[in-house]
Amino acid sequence: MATRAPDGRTYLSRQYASYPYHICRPQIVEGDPAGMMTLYLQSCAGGMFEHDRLAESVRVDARAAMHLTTQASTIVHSMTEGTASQTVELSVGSGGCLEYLPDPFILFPAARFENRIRLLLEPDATAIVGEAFLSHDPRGGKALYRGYASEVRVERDGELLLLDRMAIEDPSEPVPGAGERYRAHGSLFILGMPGAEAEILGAVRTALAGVAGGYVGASALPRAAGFSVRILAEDAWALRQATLAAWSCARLAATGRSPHPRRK
Amino acid sequence: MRDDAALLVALQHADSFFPGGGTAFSWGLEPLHGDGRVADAAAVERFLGTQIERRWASCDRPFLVAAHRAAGDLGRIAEIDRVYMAMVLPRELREGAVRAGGALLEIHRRLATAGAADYRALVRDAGASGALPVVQGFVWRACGIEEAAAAALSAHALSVGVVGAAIRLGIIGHVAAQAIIMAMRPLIAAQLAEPALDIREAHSFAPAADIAAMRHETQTARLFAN
Repeated sequence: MATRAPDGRTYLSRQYASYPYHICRPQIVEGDPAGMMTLYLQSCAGGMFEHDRLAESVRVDARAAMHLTTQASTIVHSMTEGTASQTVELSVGSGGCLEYLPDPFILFPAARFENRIRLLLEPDATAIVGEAFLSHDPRGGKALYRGYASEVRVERDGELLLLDRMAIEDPSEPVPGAGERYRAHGSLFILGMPGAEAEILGAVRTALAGVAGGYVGASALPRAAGFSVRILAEDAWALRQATLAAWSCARLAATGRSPHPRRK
Repeated sequence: MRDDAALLVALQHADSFFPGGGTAFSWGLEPLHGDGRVADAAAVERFLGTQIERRWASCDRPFLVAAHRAAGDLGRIAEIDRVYMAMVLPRELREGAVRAGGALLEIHRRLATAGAADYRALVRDAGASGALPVVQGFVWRACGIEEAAAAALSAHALSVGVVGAAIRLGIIGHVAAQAIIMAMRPLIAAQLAEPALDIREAHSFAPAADIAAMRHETQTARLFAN
């Protein structure tokens, strides 16, 4: 749980982590909005394995600000019959800000994984939420994962703002329907940004147009909730460039300053 | 209703002569064509197959079936409508669903289909959206079309809409269009042989078409609304 201190800084007011999670020491990154805390969530497990059931719960209190990320991509290892899953509960208090930008899941051959993210926003809360996966065969072949399911659900004051649910079973291409060329897919949701929506969207589109190795689009969400970005990328590098471009642009529009990419 | 009468009802509503407003939309085909990603009949067939399997079967059909089963309960239908709209992220696809659904609803209002006028009032005054699959499910039930036939009609309408767009974009001719519609048949039949998903499990994943539809928003030279 992240809380705003009287001096404006966000601090970690409560924390609990059990295996395999490790919560790193909060950091302040130069160029971030005043008081924003950056937190790396690490796993000491070496990835996700069959039958893993992980759960995260993150609360950002009113007017607190947090950037939450991981130190590296998460490998989802090959499995026999079972699956692995992760459930993420996020909530942001009034006037608070959360950037939840974990690195992508790397799906090894025969991996099965389910990722479920639920975000509750209170009035005037803002958030940027990312979700991404990449298909990878460590032996250099073309073997694919077996299943990937993802759900991102965002609610504001009990009202459903967006529900992005995908379920891929026994794919014949790394990203189904996208051709052999693309190995990675990412979604980014930019929510509750105040001010000139059309201008922010225009800026995000301009920034995305410069990303090589990607096919990328951005569009306004229903109920004036913000906007979504979809990314098809040839590799991890292109995925990261597109994600950074959209995030950086949204931050610049919201705060007047571009952020520094986090060290990984 | 006798079987031949049911067939005639289905034929009327499946006919592209029925003024349901389906010809203004390409559902992402035009921008994919514009980006050089769909250039021939094989690519149109792949695009439509993806739309059928990864959007229609797993998302549109569950919402159509739920609206059909709501049996004219407009409050329930409005709820189903709301969830559907939260699941369509590219603005033009959302607006396309609303415009096509609105056109279908309006013609059914004028034909005095049960519930159409009342639901149209909810769209106008109470913030209901009237998304296409939801309107299809509820008005077709009111016309006496059974659930499975309504779902087949909806898949057929999507197929005709997409190949029609492909013809007007100059990608394929009329014969190839019919061949593609025939190629969709086993795909659609296989989906219909499975029970429809509950809307709480509905999902869709057609990122290339989503991205194309998002990019279409800033393209000025266009024939279609999406």
